[in-house]
Amino acid sequence: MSDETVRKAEIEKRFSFLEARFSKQLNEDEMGEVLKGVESTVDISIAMRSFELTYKDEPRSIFHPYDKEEKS
Amino acid sequence: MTKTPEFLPIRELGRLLRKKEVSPVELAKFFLDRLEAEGPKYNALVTVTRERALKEAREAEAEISQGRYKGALHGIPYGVKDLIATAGNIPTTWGAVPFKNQVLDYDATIVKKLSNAGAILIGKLAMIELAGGMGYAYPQASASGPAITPWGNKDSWTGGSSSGSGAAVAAGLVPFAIGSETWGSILMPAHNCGISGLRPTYGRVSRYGAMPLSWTLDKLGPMCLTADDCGLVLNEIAGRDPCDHTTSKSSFAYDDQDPSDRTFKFALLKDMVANGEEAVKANFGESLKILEQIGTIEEVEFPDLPYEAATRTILNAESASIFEDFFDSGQFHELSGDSSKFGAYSRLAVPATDYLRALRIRDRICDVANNLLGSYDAIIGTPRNQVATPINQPIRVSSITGLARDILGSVGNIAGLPSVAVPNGFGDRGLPTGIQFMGNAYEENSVLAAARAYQNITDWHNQHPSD
Repeated sequence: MSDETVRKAEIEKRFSFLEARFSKQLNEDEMGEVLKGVESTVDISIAMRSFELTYKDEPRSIFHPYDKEEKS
Repeated sequence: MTKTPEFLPIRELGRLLRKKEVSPVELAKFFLDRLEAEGPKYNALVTVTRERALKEAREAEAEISQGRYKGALHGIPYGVKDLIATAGNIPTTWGAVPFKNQVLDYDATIVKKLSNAGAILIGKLAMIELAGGMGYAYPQASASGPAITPWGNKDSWTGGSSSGSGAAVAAGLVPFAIGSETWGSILMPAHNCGISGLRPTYGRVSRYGAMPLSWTLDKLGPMCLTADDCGLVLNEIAGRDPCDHTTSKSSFAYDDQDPSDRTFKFALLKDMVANGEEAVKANFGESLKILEQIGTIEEVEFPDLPYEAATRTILNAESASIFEDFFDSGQFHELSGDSSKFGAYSRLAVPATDYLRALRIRDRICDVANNLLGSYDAIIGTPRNQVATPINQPIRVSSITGLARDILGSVGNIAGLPSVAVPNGFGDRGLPTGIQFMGNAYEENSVLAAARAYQNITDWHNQHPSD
């Protein structure tokens, strides 16, 4: 499959989820804006995925265990 | 008072208060009247907190008259961006119509700290709705209307999202203000309003009581007339807070030694102003000549990483989670922004794997920034490459959406680095331009010293708009 085919499939998948969830709340024009947003966020995802990571790359996490001293 | 104080820096106001040449009550009344009368002209004001201000001012007056002087901010009036919680039945509107009656009725940690330092809260200041986090194409995306920079023909935008904070400081309606930045929201209005704004290191200042837009990108910081004033304010608001587990254990003490004898080592991002307006390029070129008098400048280039895409993904995913119930509520329609705001719904479909990939890339970016900036006092650049947009026109460049490039902004915010923006001249339509000094994490003193050294030999920060 070409890159463009994959891109379109991802846009459709994300948009169909949002359409199912919000089409009662948003009119056609507003859903059109949602579609533009989806296209943009998919392009952002594609740009980010093009950067190669390794198994060593861990997320900068916001989680750390409860620390009594920290709360004092 | 023999001289009107609207454009006196905090340090000078503090000297007058300490010497009892002006009283806190007198000063508070002066700025309350000024904020109330002039604030609406710039769409800068949400709420004047007169009752609370006069109570705090009377307390400060009693303390100072008894010789109990608390420090640089004692008796100094200030305003906060209206996403910061305040006690006293004062609304905290988040700049958005659906939240116009919201009363949180507790003081955010930053407000508590400023109260403890003796500062006087005189008003809640306008902002782009929900700190601009839903994306916006026009300055009208605020419950207060488009905020107007006091410069030029008074028909151009302050920048956002700390819009009222920028306008109020620039117009001399408050001696300083608190703004917030997730991506550009302190530096951009500082640039558009010709003032000094400091984005502290992530975790330097408690976010407790501030509207969350992105838990791992949000920072609160001072907006003032001078870089020195930014240091004085940061000195009081920085510090560990048990209510915000992301605050740093690393302490901060403002180093206000005269930087005139220092030789700075600056990095300059390659092609920083290549796509800038002519006046921005010219002013930045002049700034470089001045900085060569106080230090060395080496051109640097960031390696090719998806800086903006990773930062946007973090912002999109975190803001979607924070506002998911708001999306579901249907109240989104009540926001003031144009129809492009509905694009923000798309964030609810960003996969978890993308968010985590962005956090993994963030780790790489922190390493890159540390390796690249480690040996420099600051990397220099422009906060924006164009002057303020007319309020009736669409915003020309939006960093937080699409694929537009903003390397300094994205690196600085995703890696949580401090940066101070100061004015460096004027461009089209008499509107200000600026320069920023961005440094290593927790090294606010270095960037402030560089900005103060620059302001020691320039006069842009002493120029003020007429009423």
